[in-house]
Amino acid sequence: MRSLQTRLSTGLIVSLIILFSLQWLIVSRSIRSLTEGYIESRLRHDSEGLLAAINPAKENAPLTLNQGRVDLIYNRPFSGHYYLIRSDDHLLSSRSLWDYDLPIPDVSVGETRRLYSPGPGGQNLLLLVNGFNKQDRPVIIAVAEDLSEIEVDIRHFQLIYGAVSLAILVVLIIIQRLIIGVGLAPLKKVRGDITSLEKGEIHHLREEVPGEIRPLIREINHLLETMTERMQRSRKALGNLAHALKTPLTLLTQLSDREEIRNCPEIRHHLIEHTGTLRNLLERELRRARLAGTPRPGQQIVLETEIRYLLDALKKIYKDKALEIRYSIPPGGILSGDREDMLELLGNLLDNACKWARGKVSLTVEKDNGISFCIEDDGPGCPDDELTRLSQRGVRIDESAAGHGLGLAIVRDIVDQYSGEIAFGRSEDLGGFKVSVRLPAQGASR
Amino acid sequence: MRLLLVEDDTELSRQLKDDLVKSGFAVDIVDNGIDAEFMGDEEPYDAVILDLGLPGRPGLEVLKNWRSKGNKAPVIILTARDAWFEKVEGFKTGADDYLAKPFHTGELLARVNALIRRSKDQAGGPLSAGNLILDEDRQCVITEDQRTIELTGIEFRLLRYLLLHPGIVLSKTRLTEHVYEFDGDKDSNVIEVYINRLRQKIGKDFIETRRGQGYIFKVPE
Repeated sequence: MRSLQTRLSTGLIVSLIILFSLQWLIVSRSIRSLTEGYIESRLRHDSEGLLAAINPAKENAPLTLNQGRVDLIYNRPFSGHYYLIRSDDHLLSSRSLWDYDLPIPDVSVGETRRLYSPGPGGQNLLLLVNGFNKQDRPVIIAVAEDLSEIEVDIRHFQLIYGAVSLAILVVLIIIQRLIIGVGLAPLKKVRGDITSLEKGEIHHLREEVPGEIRPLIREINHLLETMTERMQRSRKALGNLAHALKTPLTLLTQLSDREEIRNCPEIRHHLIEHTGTLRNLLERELRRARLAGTPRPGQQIVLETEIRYLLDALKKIYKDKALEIRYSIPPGGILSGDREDMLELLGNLLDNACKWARGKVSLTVEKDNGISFCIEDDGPGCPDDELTRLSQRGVRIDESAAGHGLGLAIVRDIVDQYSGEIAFGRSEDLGGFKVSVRLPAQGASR
Repeated sequence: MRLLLVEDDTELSRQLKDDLVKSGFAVDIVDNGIDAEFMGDEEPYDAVILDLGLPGRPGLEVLKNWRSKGNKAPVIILTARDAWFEKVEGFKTGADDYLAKPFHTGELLARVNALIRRSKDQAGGPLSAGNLILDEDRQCVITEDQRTIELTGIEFRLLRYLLLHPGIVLSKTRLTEHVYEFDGDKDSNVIEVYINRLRQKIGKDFIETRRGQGYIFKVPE
C-alpha cells in the first residue's frame, strides 16, 4: 500500500495541475473573446461609417464612396483593415485589399454574420458581414480586420500567464509537501516510539498524538498491558502449579529413602527411576513454558547489575569450593530481553561451569549488534565426540550429556526462542568446557 | 543443633522432621509466615529451612524482615520455585543456600550440615577432637584405635554442639536451647547429667566445668 505521504501528495498535485490548466484555459479564452468582441464592435462602427459614406446613386448605378469619410487605414495596401461593399452586381472593395479576392457570403438585409477568413499574406481575418438597405437598395458591407497581431499578443500573454502559473504551481507543491510533512510528523514520532518500544527503552507509546491516531495508540498500549498481564498471570499460575506438584513429588522421592523401601531394592529402583523421570519432565516442561521468548516491549535489563547478583548467588551456592569467577562485561551494557529468560540462560550456563570447574570460571560478555556470552571453566570438559553431538541441532541434550543435562537443554530452548546461536567447545584459556551463545539484536530481527 | 523448619505442607514437614530428628537435630515446625518470623526472632536457631510459598506471609518477606532486624541465622531456602531469577532474588534477600523441590533428604541433610559448619567457621569433613572422630551418619564416636563409642540421641546432639563450638564458654541454658525443641523437656539440670555421661564415654578431659558459667569443650594436651 502506498504511503500516506505519497497518496496525499499525488492527490494534491494532480488537483492543482487540473485547477491551473483550467484556469489558464479559461483566462486565455476570455481574453480572446473579449478582444474579438472589442474588434467586432469597432468593425460594426466602421461598417456603419461606410454605410454612411456611400454616395447616393441611382438604381443600378455603380456605388461610390465619399473617400473623405473613410479611414486612411483602408487605403494602405494589406494594412489588415479591409472592406467590401456589394450591391446587386456592383462590388466595391478597399484599396488595402489590392487585388486579393475576399469571398463574402450573401446575407439578407438586417442580417449580421461574423466569420473567420484567410486574408492576403497569410493574414487571419475576422469578417463582419452586414446586410443593409440604402435608399431601397440592398447593400452588403463586409468589414474585416487582421487578427494575426492580436493573436501574437494573446499567445504572448498565454505564455507569460502559463509561466507564472507554473511557477506558482511549483511553489504551491513545495508548500504542500511541507504541510504534509508537518501534518504527518506525529506519525513519524509514533514510528520512533515504536522502535524504542521494541528496543525496550520505553514501556508504552506516548498518547500525545493527534485525535485521528489516538485510538490506535491507546489500543496498542492496551494490548501491551494485556500481554504483560497475561504473561505475568501465566507465569504465576505455572509457579503455583510447580509448587503444587513438587511438594507431593518430594514426598514420593523421599519415600525411597525409607527403611521399608530400602529393604525392597527392586521397588526402590522403580520408584527412584520413575520419580526421576517425572521430575525431569516436570522441570523441563515448566521451564520451557515459562520462557517469554521474544522480549516484551519495555523490557530492559542492566547486565552488569544482574550478573553481579547472579555471581553472588553462585558464590554462595559453591561456597565450599574456592572458585575464582572472572568476568568482563562492557560497562553500561543494557540488554533488551526478558530478565527472567536472561537470568535463566546465564544462571544455567554459569551453574554448569561452577559445578565442573576445578577452581576457575570465566564469563565474557561482548556487545556488538546483538550480544554474545562466552562461559569457560577449567573442569574436565567434554569429549570431542560428545561436543559434536551437542552442537548438532535438534539433539535432545538432556539425553546426551550426563551431568550437563537439564541446564543445557533449557539453555538451548532459550537460545532457540531468541533465534540465537549456541556453540560448545574446549576452552583455550582454562582447558575445560566452553559455551558460546550469541543472541541477535531484538527488534532488528523483525 | 536446633533447626526451624518452615513448611506449610504438613505431611512433608512431618516426614522431614522425622528424618532430621533421626540425624540428631532438634526441630521446630512452623507452617505459616507470621509464626515463622516470630519464632526465628525469639529462638536461637542454628539453621532455618524456609519454604517460600507460605500462608500468612511470603517466605522472602520473612527472610527480609529477619535480616533487617539483624537476625543472622543461616537460612536455606527450600522451594518449588527454582528459576534462576528466583534463586538470585532469594540470595539477594539474604539466603545462605537454596534447595529446589523435589529433593532427597540426604541432600537436604548434607546442605544443612555444611551450612551449619560454615556458619560456625568450621571446615568441612568429619567433626573431630584430638584423636576422636564424630561419625554423624551413625551418630557415634570413633576412637583412634577404631573403637566405636555408641551415643544416645541427646548425647550425640550435645557432643556435636560442643565440637562445633570449641573453646567457648557454653551456658547450660544455651546448651538446652540448642539441643531441645521448643516444646521439649527443658530442665537445664538434665544437661549436667548428659555432660557427665559424655565425660564417662569419651574421657573427662574434653569438657571443663566453669562454675556458675557453664562448660568449655577443648582438646586435652
